[in-house]
Amino acid sequence: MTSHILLQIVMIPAIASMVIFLTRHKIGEKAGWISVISLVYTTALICLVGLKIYGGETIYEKYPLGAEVSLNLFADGLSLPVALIINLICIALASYSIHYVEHRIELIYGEVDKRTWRIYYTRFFLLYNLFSTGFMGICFATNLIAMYFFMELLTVIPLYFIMAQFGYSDYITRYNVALMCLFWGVIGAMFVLIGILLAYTQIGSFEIAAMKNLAGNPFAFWVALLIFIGLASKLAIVPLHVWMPWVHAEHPTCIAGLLAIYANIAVYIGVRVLILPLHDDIKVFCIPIMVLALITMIYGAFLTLAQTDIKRFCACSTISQISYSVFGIGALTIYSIEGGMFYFLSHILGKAILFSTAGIVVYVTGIRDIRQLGGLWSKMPVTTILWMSCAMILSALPPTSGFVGKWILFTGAFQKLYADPIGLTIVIVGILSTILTLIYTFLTGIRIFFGSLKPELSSSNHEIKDPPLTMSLPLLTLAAIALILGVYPKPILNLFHSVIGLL
Amino acid sequence: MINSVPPAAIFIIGAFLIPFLRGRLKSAYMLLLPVLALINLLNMPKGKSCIIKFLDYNLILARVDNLSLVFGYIFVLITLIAVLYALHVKDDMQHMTAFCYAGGALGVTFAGDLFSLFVFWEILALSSVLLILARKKEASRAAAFRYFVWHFVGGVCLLGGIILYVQNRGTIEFDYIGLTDLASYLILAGFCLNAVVFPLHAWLPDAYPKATVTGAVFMSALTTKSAVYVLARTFPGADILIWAGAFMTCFPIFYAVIENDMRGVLAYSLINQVGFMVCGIGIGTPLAINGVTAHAFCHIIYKALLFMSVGSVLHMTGKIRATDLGGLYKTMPFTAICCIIGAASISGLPLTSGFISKSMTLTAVGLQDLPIIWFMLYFASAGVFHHAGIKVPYFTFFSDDSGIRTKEPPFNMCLAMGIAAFLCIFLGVYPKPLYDILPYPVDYIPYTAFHVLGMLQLLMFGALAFTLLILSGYYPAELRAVNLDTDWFVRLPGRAFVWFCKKPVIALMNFFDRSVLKGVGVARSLPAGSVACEKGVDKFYHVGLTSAPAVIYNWVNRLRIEAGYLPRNLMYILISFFCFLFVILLLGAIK
Repeated sequence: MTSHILLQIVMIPAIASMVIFLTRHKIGEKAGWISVISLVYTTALICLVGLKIYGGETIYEKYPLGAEVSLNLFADGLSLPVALIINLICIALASYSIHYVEHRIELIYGEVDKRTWRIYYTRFFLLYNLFSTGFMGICFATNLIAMYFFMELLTVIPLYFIMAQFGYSDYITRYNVALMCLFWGVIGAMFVLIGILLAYTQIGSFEIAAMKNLAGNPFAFWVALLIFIGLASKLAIVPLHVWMPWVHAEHPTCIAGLLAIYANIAVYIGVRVLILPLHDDIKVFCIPIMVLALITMIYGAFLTLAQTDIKRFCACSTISQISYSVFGIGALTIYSIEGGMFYFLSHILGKAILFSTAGIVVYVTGIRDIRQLGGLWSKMPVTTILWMSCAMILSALPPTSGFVGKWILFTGAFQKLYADPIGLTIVIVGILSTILTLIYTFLTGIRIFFGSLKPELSSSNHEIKDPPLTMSLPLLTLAAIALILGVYPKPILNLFHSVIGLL
Repeated sequence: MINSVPPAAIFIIGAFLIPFLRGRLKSAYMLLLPVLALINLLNMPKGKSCIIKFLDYNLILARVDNLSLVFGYIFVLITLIAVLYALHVKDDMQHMTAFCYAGGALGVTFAGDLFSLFVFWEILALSSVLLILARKKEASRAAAFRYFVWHFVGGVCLLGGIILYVQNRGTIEFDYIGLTDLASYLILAGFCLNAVVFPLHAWLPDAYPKATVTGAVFMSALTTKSAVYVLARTFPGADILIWAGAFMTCFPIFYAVIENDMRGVLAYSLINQVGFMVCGIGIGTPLAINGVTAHAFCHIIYKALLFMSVGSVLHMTGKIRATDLGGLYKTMPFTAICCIIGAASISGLPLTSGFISKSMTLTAVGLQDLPIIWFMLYFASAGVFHHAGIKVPYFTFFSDDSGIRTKEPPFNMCLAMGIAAFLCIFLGVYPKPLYDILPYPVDYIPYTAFHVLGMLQLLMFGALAFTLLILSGYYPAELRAVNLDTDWFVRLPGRAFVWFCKKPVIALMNFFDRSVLKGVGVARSLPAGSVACEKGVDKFYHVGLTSAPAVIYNWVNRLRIEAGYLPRNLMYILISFFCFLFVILLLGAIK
């Protein structure tokens, strides 16, 4: 079990998806559970790896594919916590999808015969598992080409196909949006690829470890610029944010949480590929990145406040939230990078809950317009608790993980910029802009769940109640994890520090 | 072992057991919690204990000294009374949030470092919001949200200040700070917002009248007084607080006189009373700090008593406006007596608790060379008698008979009011127990001829003014409308802000969408183009690729369990996989 452990972590979800595909007529609705079980297995493996790494080891597995390209996998204190949290979210959302996808198929395709229904249902899960493969690949890959491959894998296969087949809106809009997502993803990745190739001309290697050799090289600036542009389109930094509200709003909500990871994992790539090896060369980018992040934070928050559609609301909040991580890694101090990474974990946890809770509201009431909702508290207490807890995580209130992330992030940012009045202004505006997050999450929560129950809701013919346990329980678990991280963040911070602290 | 329990933990952890209990057991359990907390407090060793390591800091959850102990005692005591008052409420959510709220206040009181202080500060804000929301009215919902935004603005100022402070001084100890740099001003702003210092006070008269009957009792006791405690610890002797406090004692009087909602009147008098404390903190001498502490102690009891008696009226009649009430003394005599005792205490009548604490603060001011401040405080003492001392009981229980006939409130509410009323009188007559626990040794005697006569004269003339105004018809009529306070300055930009989000931001967003997408030429061709593209790709894969590499197709075919149609998209996946692997191998072979 422990041999080729990292390869197992990356490949087993993909193998499970093949199994689902080949036996789809036999297993039918059990496909969801196969997906969950495979993910639980890989998560257990990640925990095993985690124990080793916490003891001070690192794990390196070699799978050369050619002279320059390899599928070598490497786990250390930076990649492991990211992989762990992402995989936990994958499990939770897989379990959430088990009921949700039934509902989507019914809405999109109507009454179909058993055989066709099984094809649709299993198709979702076999595509879903590839998400895990992609994310784990990005976390553990040591080769830039392999990392690029996994980024593209995510963009092309699960995002495009799930969007196109299970998304909201009508057929044409769905395919439109899916294509748009594909274009933006491919173009962003293309910039990264050009940066990688440019680096290759200088250092003659695609290994991330070799990026150190680029330090001091005049080309380092251009490589960093290209990669940053590519990542910025993934991270939805203004003005490259246009795709985000569309794509996130039209996706089925069960994977919208994974989309937030898809966008935000670029922070990890940035830290791994650029900031760790080229720390001194990219200092020129410090202030521009922070200013852009600040603009995005505030603009994204305004955008969110203006939304009336509950799913677009969640999507726009992602734009603003991701920028906190970017702000942290942009400040380039040890603490701020650790804070940015921690905020990334906290944000994906919170956002997975937020999207899925919005999905529950849509699933139960069939209404997407916030103005038509109100007073759901008495009917859906569990959902209310979920919304409030994710609002706490996202607006970084204690005792959730967001608060720890924010605290470390801004401590680090102050450390760097305290002496400089412009820098100090940037950081203080950054802190103050967290008020906006609070306003939009709680304002919307209070609008949807509190006050008096709208008459059209109480008179509608389908019953309004909390969703089945397979939907709410995984989300409550995620909330509990965020709480634990907020109270006891030490293990993850220690792991981050073992890598980032070497700067 | 019992010594090592942090004071806040009993309430916060205990709160989560409440939903699992039923009936009598639940009532007993809820009353037991404050008693347990009190025993725990009495056993707590002086000095710093309950130290936890978090990040790189040592968090001190129990820093016990004279100042924090007084506030700890009164918070636990008032929790006991308020829980007793709320026993009849069936809503578990309210009980849980009330205990979390009290736990937050205790946590703030005993926090020995800025980090845990901030955490408890936010717990305090969050849980009090739920107490307002629990009233389930549209007005409460809106007020709760405004309350929350105010508090979070304060919280963010505090957070920024704390992070800067830790950065500058390299320590996270929560102790005397003093006004020196940007960090301390940010921290002061955060604290002042909770201490309702003008102009950061608008949230209080906005939110408290809209809270639940029982929630308002907790709120009147905890939020502002925990802020008074932190101010007394961090900024004693800051000159700015003297003027801020003196101003706070005066301006609410004018609002209170025209306020119609009885709990609104009490909310304004709360600001006025906290003004005395803030002013005392600004002076910062041992006598002043003693006066502040004693005043906070007594104030919590009599203000809770007033909120309880007025709340009983709201609970029994459903009405709270001065113009709707009157003549209730006939059917609610006990409540009326309790209200009068509370009103006498808040006015500082001799033999009540207000007298022994307020005169102490006034004396401390008198000993400084500050004639204007001294005059302002005396004016405010007369004013508080005028609105809280006479107006509240007079318009509620006497005045013109409104014709409302009701009953005394439930037994538990009466008992709670009775205990509080007893404490008001007891401390007024025999202040020694209170004076013994004050932070500095007390050599102050309240019952001297000067203090008693001075206070009586002041009250006499206040009463005379009220009577004359009522009789002559000059007394300003209560306005049915809502008083707009400094929150006008907040609500107006608030509306502008919403407009800003709805119009220019959306326009900008549409501009981005149009320019970026159409500029690339994608958007225009998308609707038709994507479908055509999809069909083209479909055809390409099916006709071109799937038939040409027949090997792959057959291999997949054999593996399939049932023969039939191969869904096109699954084919894409396999092929895309192979394409990518191919690309990788190709790149690998470059060299």
